[in-house]
Amino acid sequence: MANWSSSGFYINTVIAALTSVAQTGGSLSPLNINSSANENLSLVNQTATQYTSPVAYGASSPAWVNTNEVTGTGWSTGGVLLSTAFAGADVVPTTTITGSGPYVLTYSWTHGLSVTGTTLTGIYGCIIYYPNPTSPVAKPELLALYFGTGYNTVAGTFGITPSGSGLAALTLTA
Amino acid sequence: MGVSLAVMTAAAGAGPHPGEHSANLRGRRQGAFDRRAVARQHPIATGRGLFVDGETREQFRERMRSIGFMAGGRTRDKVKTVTRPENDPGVDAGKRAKRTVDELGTVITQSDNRQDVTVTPPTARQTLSFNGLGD
Repeated sequence: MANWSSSGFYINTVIAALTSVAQTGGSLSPLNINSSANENLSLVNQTATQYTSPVAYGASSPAWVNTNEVTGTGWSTGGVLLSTAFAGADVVPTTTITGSGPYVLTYSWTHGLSVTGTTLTGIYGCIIYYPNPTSPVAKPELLALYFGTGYNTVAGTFGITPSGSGLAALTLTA
Repeated sequence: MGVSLAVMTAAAGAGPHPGEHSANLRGRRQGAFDRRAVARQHPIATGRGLFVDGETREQFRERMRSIGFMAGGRTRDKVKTVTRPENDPGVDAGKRAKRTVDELGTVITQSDNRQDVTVTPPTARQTLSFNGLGD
């Protein structure tokens, strides 16, 4: 299997949020897509394999693991908390529904992620996940974004700015 | 014909000395050219080196320093002022940061010792089907 090459929501985590599945561990139950105080963003390198953990979008138990993770100066394992990832402030996640059949659920941030003082090599993407739950899935993953190519920082700022169409769009059909 | 003869006569005084190598001759001619060029720019040659009325020796020396000449030799003020951009501590003073934007709209700013990157990832697009949605 080739290295990973696409982005996606972890569908079972989305369904758990939509259907209010109770969570054990942490203070967030059920899951809330916009709860940045309970969401981390970690970085992924080139060697992740498509549809295999930690980028298995269709897995029944998509648990975050540090496999294929990028870490470095200013960026430790597990990543950064989204509520402090906008230069120390909250990125403020947004979830909007547009359309009238099919409906489109768009996930984005009001502010882009910006972390200073990093030296990182080979960043090909990122994973947004919940670091606190232990059950029914430990550290359930919400969304993975593939950047299309590798990026590096040297004693500099790493940032992610959502495009005009958001970070992710989920078309809901009957 | 008469013109050619005059040129040869004028060049004779600056010609090679007996037994002198042609390269040495070129060197002497270049040296003379350089000396004339320096003389034309010297304060004395330009008139700036003369004392003006009421000017003391110290004032004269200070004025010579201000235009790049001073007693005991020629010096130039090499002090160069550079301004470091605010809020950009990683960019070396006096050097411009190189800023590029790749095909994904990602901004990469790079200087000799720092590299920033701000990624704008393509929107992840998926379709999720529910039985009964919209009923």
